[in-house]
Amino acid sequence: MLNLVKKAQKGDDKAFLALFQKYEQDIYRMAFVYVKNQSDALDVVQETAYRSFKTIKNLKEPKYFKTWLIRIAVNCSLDLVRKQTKVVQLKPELEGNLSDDVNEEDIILEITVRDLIEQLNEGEKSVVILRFYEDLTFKEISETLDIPLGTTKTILYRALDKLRKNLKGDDLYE
Amino acid sequence: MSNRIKQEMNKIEIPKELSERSEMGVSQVKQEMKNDRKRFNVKGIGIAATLLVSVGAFTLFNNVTPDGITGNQDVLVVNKDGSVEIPAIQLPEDTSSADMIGLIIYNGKIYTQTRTEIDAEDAKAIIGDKLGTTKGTIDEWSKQEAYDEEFASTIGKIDVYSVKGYDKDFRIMTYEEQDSKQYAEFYENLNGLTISSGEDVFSKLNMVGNVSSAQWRIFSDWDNEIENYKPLSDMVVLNTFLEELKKVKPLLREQNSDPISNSRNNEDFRELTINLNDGSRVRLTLLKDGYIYYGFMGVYFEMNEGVFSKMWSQLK
Repeated sequence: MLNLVKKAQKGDDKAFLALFQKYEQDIYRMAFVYVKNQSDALDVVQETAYRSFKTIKNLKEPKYFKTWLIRIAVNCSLDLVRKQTKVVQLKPELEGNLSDDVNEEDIILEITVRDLIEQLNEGEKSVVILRFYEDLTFKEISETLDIPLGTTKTILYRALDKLRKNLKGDDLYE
Repeated sequence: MSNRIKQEMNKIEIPKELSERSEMGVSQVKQEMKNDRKRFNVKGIGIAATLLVSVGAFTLFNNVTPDGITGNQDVLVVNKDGSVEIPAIQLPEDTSSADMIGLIIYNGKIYTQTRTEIDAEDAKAIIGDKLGTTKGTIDEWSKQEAYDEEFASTIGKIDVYSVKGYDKDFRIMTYEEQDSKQYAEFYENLNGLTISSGEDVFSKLNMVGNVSSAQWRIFSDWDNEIENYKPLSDMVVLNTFLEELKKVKPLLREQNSDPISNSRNNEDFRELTINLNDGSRVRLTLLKDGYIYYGFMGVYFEMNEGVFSKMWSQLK
């Protein structure tokens, strides 16, 4: 992979495409969670391919290609959401009721794509997707999204708490 | 949990034209590259002259900090006396590839997230006066004017305090209690200043004479967030090192000569955590060749070899 990155950095579009296409499905699905429809999600993929190929020469550490690419994809998605809604808070306020015992593993869940899309705000989507879909560590997430490590954890726990509460809420009405 | 999210995400259907759209993005860049080449042929001489000027100037398009987060993209200046001027953070012209870091505007200065941490319990004891409440008004699309507004921030809405024992021109703290949980974070003003020696930065951290303990870890543990710390036992060596930090020389982190880019390995890289009596933890990155990094700054520091090597020998 490192070889492909180096070739791509020299402008080799075939090498770049070979790299990019390994991740294009991930990028599409991530984008879909933000933008909520196929057409916009495809736009995000195209824009991500454009921005990343244009700037890959600036990538200093080829081994971080994946997290670098994800960061671009997240930014492209947020750009599009922002155009649609005018305001997107990248790092939402530290508010909401965090339970004392939030645990990543204790939400054994009936989470659906719809929950992810509808219950979480942009910042929470980012952290949940990076943590559980892309399997990034907290440190990698904090680097990818450029937010402090502590904030990453806070956002994740709040998101899980929200999902859990919503599920409980659903149960009540069943 | 992880599998559940993956399963759900994988239910999102992949449209047939996906690969085609990736190719279109790449083709756009190729087309632009061709156009640029054509322009270069016409204006070649002008561009070459501009490049020479750029290369000749002392510029830094900022780069990767100790933990990989990109800092600001300002031009730093090396003065004749060897001091380094770090201008206030400015927005880069092209924000599409810019990175956001946690920051707060207070008193016209920009305070950024930093490498010193404190547990909320300890923070309670040194919390100073309330200075105000941040507004979450800066994001990646903000114009430069947004940076001029008092308490503008990238961190949402949270109360800001001074920190007892530290100069509020240098360090402030966010603190919040919610549902019996507390959150505290330091922010430091490490831009818009001139650094002649380590004293201009490290003396503000109040480490000398205030150390309770110290520990270190190797690169791979740091990188993977594994808390495999080893205690530092020789306090004499540590105290000498901390004294010497006042004298270290600032160096610009230039894109092609920043030593950290070739030191991301267990042999050359150590994270040193210094625990202070007030509960704060200062994290420094040390590189084998005598270099020291702190916070999100466009500079690193070089230490006298003798003192540094004694310190380094404690980190094996």
